[in-house]
Amino acid sequence: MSGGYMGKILNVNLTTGKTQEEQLGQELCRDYIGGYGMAARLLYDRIPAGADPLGPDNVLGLLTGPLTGTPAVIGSRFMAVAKSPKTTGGWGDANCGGYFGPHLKFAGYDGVFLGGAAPKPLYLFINEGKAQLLDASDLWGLGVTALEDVLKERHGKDIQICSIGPAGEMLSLTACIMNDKERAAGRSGLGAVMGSKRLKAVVVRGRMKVPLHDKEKITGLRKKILKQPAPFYSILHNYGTCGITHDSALSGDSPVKNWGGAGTVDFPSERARKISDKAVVTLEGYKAYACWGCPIACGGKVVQKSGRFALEFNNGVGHKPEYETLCMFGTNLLNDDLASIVKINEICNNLGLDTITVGGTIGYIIECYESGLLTKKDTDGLEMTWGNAEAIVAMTEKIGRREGFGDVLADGIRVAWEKLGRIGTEYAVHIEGEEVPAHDPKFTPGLAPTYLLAATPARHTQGGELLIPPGLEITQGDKYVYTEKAETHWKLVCLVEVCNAAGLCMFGYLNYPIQAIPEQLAAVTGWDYDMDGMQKTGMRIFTMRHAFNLREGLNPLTRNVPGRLVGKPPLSEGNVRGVTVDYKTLNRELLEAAGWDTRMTVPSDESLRRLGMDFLIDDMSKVNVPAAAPSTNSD
Amino acid sequence: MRLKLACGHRKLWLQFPEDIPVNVAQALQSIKDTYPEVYERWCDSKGRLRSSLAVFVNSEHIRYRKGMDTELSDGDEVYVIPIIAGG
Ligand code: SF4
Repeated sequence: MSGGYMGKILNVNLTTGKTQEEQLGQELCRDYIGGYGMAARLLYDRIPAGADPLGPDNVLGLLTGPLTGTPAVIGSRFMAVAKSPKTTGGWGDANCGGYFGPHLKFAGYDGVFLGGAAPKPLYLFINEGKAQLLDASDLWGLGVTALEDVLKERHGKDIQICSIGPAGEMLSLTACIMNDKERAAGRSGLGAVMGSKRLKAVVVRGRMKVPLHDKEKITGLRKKILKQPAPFYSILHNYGTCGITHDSALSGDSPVKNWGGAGTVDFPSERARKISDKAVVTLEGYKAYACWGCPIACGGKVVQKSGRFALEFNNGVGHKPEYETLCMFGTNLLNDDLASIVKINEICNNLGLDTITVGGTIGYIIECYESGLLTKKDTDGLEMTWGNAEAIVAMTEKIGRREGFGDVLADGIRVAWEKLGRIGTEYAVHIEGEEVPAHDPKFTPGLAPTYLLAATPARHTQGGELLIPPGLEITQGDKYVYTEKAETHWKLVCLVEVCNAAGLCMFGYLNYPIQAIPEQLAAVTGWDYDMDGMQKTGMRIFTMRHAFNLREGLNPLTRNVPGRLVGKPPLSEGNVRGVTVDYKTLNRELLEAAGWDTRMTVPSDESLRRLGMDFLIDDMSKVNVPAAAPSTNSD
Repeated sequence: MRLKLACGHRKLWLQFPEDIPVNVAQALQSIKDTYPEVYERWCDSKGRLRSSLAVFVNSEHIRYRKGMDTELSDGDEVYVIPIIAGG
């Protein structure tokens, strides 16, 4: 086996309680790297088409990449994957930092696949290469915080835990998978998949070393790379992502008033500053937090022991909210009460909720309430008005516990919209059931195809013009010109695919020269990687995840496109006023460049052969997806 | 004429003669010698604004004015932000 890999994954059948080791093939590792790349290739064969995402046929994977747990910059990540219950049964994945990923490898495995469904609550304990399924009946119902405390008491402090809270147990589609109490694999509703398998946690302990092809080289590379941080480094190091909240609200990048407002008017500078940069890192007891092996340390802990929003756990210490949470519960809801967002962060982390999903859902509800479509009678007496911090906090808790009106909202906007009789359609901002992260395509038009075409809709971490790494030579031009963007866009998308699959944190990608990634991959694995090869591999991974969706009958071109995201109608105020994103032209040119059908998105035989994916040709010829209407430049 | 050039919490005050008009490009160029480290972060070797940055005058994107040719008045704030993704 090449360096970087432990060489095996663990397959667990939760129905029968059997576990089985599987050796990884060299070709699979080289062609799909790891993380969601490797997972998509394997699960394409293992999850039958049409499987119920919350049924035993779905397989939940927790996978690292070859650079996870190595000296590479920054190898802290793992990915959760499964068929998503949220996006009409399409491919689902979520990326997560913390400590679990590296420690899964130290415990002996590159990944774990969990199929079937346990008859009673269980947790998986992998202790120095030995796997055991243990009874979790006494743990079921616990919040993530208490759960980690109990498990560490039981197994020792040197374990790492990946778990769900009550939201996942109750199969809420707003649920995520947590690790290290406060790091979330947030998207795709994967917490519900774990809950459907009655798996409370995966616990790992180990001290094995990740094999390195050239230890001296990768150690030297790390030193060299860390000496070349981009300017973004100082923002991230000093503040974390909360360092960009104010500026993004001003620029038009952040959602304001459920994507219907303008930062400069509805949430001006003095309000945005209250939930941004200095305001966050000067909170009581602020202390920086780093994921495993990370030199940036963008996270942080704060103390909030008193006041209306006193924290309940860890003796009043909680993780500071990051940009997405600050926007989805701040700018998006016109809420400048920072203490309330710190509290919401605690609630979401403890109950296992994705903050993007819940913040987006509450935005929809507030707008329905403010426009008279809902009243206090519907919302359990809570006044769901813009900026009402107390009500927002209370509703978040209700969602996490499926209590009262919270039960209506616990599966996100699309389900709530259905349950409420399809009210306020214009306010229901989601793409195919996935709430939209806090980056506006009207500010970065290249985000529109990222949100609309990638296998996981509405995902800002899928590459494109929002994520430009240092050292990459690309032609950008005027961002509001919608033609001839395909080459640059594909380049940016494919590089991110490899970054994610390799187990790297995207903030390393954004802070250090991009050429460092193939260099590090080569040093760790011993295989040749260069920028061109990396792009081809990225395209292969992108295509593999897309093929999973095609086989499910899902054509991304038929996804709903919320008017507010693309400026239909355009805003009349703020820094993205007057903008209407011509996403159809962007999408069409991207599909043409990839060699995919421009109405069905089916890859041509030739494009598959180019990527060495001949095995898909037959399946793709049988794909039966609804064709999108033809698009022209005048659309 | 007094202008404010800002990025995050960092603020630079620039002084220009009253009678000569100054635009955004000139305001940025004026810090080349006085604050070379800031200038290099904002402009490339040809003096062009880096594409990873956006510029605002009194909170309005310069796209809605005359871009880098936007003329500035006494007391105006030129605000520069890096475009980056939050996690
Ligand atoms: S940059 Fe932040 S998210 Fe990434 S590994 Fe470091 S601490 Fe974790």
